[in-house]
Amino acid sequence: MTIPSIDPAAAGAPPRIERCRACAHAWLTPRGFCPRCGADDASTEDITGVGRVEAVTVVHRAAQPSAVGPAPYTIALVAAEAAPGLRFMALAPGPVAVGDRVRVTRHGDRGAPYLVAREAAFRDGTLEQ
Amino acid sequence: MNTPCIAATGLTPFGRLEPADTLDLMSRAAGAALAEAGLERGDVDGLLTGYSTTHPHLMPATLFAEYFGLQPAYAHGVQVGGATGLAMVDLARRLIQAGAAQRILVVAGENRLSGQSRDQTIQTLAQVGEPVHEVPNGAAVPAYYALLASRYLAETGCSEADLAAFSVLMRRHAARYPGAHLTGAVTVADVLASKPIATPLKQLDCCPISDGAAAVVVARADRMPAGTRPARITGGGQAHTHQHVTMAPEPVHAGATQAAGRALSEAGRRLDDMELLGVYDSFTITLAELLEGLGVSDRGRAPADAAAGRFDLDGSLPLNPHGGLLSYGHAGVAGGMSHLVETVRQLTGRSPVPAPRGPGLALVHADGGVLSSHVSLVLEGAP
Ligand SMILES: [Zn+2]
Repeated sequence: MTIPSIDPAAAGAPPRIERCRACAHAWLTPRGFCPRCGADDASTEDITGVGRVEAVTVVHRAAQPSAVGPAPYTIALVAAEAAPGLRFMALAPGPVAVGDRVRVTRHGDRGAPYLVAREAAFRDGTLEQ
Repeated sequence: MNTPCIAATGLTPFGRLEPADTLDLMSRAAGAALAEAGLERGDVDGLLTGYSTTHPHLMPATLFAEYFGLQPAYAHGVQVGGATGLAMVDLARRLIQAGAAQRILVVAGENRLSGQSRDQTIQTLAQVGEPVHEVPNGAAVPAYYALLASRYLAETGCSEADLAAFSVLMRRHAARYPGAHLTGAVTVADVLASKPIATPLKQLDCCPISDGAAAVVVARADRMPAGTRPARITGGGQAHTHQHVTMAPEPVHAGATQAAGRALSEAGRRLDDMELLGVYDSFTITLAELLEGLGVSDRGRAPADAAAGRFDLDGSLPLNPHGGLLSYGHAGVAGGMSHLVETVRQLTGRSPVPAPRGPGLALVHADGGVLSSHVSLVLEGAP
C-alpha cells in the first residue's frame, strides 16, 4: 500500500463525516446508509475537528513510513466533540498527552489522514472552526 | 451422552522451524492429535482450519485435506483473527451437537517467522486497521494495542512496570515448558529497558512471531476409542463488538464480558468456579484488558494480581501455564489455540507442568482484531 505524504504544517480542512438524517448518528467511513437505524438518508458534513485526546502512542518500529515520514511518529485517538461516540485516529506533529484538547484537520486527497493540532494552538487564541 | 469434548490435542514446538511450511506444520500437529486420539485419517468426518498469512488460499481446509490425506464430509476455513482457534472449536461443538459430524479435526499453523520478513508480517496484520482513516497514519497492530495501553494507564493509574508483570510471569511459565519459543528469564527491569515498539509498549510487552501449529479433535465422547481422556466443552460464547479501534465500545473490553457471560451461562457455572485460565496474550495490555473484561480482576487490578502470584502455576488461578503468546510464542491461529491445548492437557492429566491444585474447571478466552471478536469456552475434566 502506498501512503501519500502530507505537509503537517499546512492548514488542512475540517474532518468530513456522514450523518444520518433520520437518527442523527454520525460516522467516519462513507457508506451512504446509517449503520445504526438502516436509513438510506445520510448527509455528508464537514465538522469541527475539536476533540479530546483519549490515547496516544509514539510508533518507533514500523514496516513503512507514515504520511509524515518514517518512525518515530505520534498517533492519537481523539474523541470528537461535534459527534459523540465518534473518534479520529490522527497523526500528531508535536507532543500531545491523554486529556489534551486538540483540533484535528483533514489532509490529503482521499480525505485522510488526519492531523492533530497541538494543545498550545488553543492557548494563543487561534482556535477556529 | 453427546456433550462435545476435546478428545486429543497436538502442539508443535514454536520458534524457527524452517524449512517446514504451513502445510508441513499443520500436518505435524494434526498427526500428533490423531495419534493421541487413537484415530485413523478415515475416522475424521469433519475438518476446520485456520488461515495462514504465509500461505493465503481461497480453500484452506480443502487444501490441507488433500495434503494430509482426508476426505471429510464437512470442511471449511474460519477467519476471526486471534479468536479463530476458539471460534473453530465453538463451531465444532455445535456441529457435534447438531449431529452434522462425529469427529472433527481442528487445525492451524504457519511458518510466520521463517516464511516471510518481519515487516511483511506487520504489514499483513495491519489489515485489521481501517484502510482510509487508520492505516495511512502508519498504524499497525502494535500501535492499536499501544493506544489501548495508553488509555489503560491513564485511566487506572497503573504504570508500565505494572504491565511488565505479565511478561515476567509468562516467561517464567515458558521456561519450564517443552517447546516454548522464548525461555530466558526476564525481570521487570528487562521489560522496561527493552526497545520501544509503540509507546507505552516495548519489545518485551509484545509476543514474538513464531513458526508452529496446533490441532485438536472435537468429538462426542461416546464416539471415541476406549481409553480416551477427554475434556468436556460445557459452554461457549462469542461477542463481536467492532472491527476497528476507532469504533471500539465503552468499556473497550465489553466483548470479553459478553462472551464469557454467555459461555458461563450455558455451562451453568460461575466465574468463581474456574480453577484455571487460558487467556489470549498478544501484548501485556491484552491480558490486562481481557482479565478485567472477563471479571477475573477488578478494574486496574490485573497487573497487581499477576505480581502478587495469583496467576502462578501454584497460585489460586493459574494462567497460561505454557507461557502464552508472550513466551511460548505466536504462530497465528495456532498461537491462539496453544492456550486451549495446554488447558486440555491440564484438565486431563497430560500437562508437562501439572498445576499443583489439579484444576478441573477452566475458562479459555481469545480476542481477534483489537479486542474486536471474542470467544470464550468453558472446559471441564472428568465428571
Ligand atoms: Zn440512523
